[in-house]
Amino acid sequence: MSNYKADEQRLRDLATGQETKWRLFYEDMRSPFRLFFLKYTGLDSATVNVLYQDAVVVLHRKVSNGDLVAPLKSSLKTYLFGVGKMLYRKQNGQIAKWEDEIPEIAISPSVEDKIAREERAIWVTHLLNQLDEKCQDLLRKVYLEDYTMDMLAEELQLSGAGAVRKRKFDCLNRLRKLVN
Amino acid sequence: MPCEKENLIVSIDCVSWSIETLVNCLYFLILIMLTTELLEQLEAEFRGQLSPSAQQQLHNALDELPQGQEEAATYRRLWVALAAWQAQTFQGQAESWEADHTYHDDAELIELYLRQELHPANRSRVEHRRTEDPVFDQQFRHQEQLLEGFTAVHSTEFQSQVTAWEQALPAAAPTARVMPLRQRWARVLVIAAGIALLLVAGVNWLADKPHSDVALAEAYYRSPPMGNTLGGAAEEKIAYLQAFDAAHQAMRTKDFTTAAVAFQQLSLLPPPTTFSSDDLKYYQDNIGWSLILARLANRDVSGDFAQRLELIATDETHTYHQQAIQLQDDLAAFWRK
Repeated sequence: MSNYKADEQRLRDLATGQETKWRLFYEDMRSPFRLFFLKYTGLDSATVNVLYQDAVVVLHRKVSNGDLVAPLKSSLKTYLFGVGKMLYRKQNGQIAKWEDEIPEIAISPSVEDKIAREERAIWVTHLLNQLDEKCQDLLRKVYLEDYTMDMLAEELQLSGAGAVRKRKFDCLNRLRKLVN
Repeated sequence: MPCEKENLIVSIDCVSWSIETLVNCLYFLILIMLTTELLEQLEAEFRGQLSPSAQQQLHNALDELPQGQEEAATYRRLWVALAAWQAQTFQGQAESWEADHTYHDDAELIELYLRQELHPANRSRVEHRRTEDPVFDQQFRHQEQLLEGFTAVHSTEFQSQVTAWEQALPAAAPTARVMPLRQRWARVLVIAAGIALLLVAGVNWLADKPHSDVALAEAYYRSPPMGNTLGGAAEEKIAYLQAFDAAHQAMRTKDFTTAAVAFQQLSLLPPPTTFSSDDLKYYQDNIGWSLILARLANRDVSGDFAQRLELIATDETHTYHQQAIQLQDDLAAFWRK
């Protein structure tokens, strides 16, 4: 039986991609995260804030991709702090004195260059803008807002998940055709 | 020569092309018509959700198609970009949330400094900034005084509680011995200082507070069980629970200004690391909800009050989710009067 039932429920909420859930999580974790990194690293307050945002973005990616699912081996706070520690090490190339308050965790954030990420986002947005509105809306819901096929079927009043899946890949094919 | 994308779009013109070009064009059409099943498998592989044997089958299928692997790489590139688009959008949201918090960062920084929980480099930054930023220095001094006041009030309340526990225990079997925290005369001074500071901090709410604000807050307020968590607990946990008890004590005695400040401080305080996830949820939910009630009773419904209430009302897992929805309704009705 899991020791992290409340965290797992919260993880399920976050996996829905709802902004209110993520905002609440962001607000709950911000202060403890700041305290930890202001205490154990020499990073200044503004830099810790940036680190926090980066860590939450990585966790968001992990949850959206389904890389982080129940049963959890640590609390979500531990995962988030673990991501923060890895980002810190990657960015600063040094190991702080953590005093083992936060255990190491088996999560390896694929830390990508922010500039590269921004360029990719601009590129795909440019392609999406060339699609018709229906395809834009569908791909936005699938890839941005983490809608499930069932949710989309209900919203688009389609016969079922299979019909949505077909439409999704039709749209993806159209997007692919725009790639030179 | 490979068939270009433009050839595909205007493929009707293929009739005038060479056999070689037509064959290439046909290959391209086949690739573009990759089945939904194949794309679905490709995406599952991209997300790491495909078994090794299924991956092998997928790659065999791709190898059989002209330029199959190249096509797969193009789709992967698209998925990477879509993920970057999602991350970039989320980053934008997070930045907008951040704006609501930076206002409190200095107060938090000062508190961490006073609790000696800052890295030496950050301690130096705070000290240096005090010498260069008079506004920050003033904020530091005010907060230092306020914290001393709270500590004084807190110590006194805790002392009273410990005395009550000691009296309730059987004389022959004491489980703990708590020494007085300060000499009596010193305690009196710090209590006076604490009360004075709280007064200076703006405790003139009572005179003009409409009864209905208080009545509404009191109707929703439920005092939690108090003072039964000390045995064997770590110092960090004891301090947290003492602060929690003190905040509720202020609520019970209708000292809503003190309660609001105390719950606000608690909300910024990191919970003990020894807390279980259930403890964490219980205390954090209670503190968030109690802060709203204390602020309501104190007529402090400006700023982020509505937003805090909305966050609880929209969070179905929050302990006070239903109460928050009802309070929103009551407030809406109340403000129309």
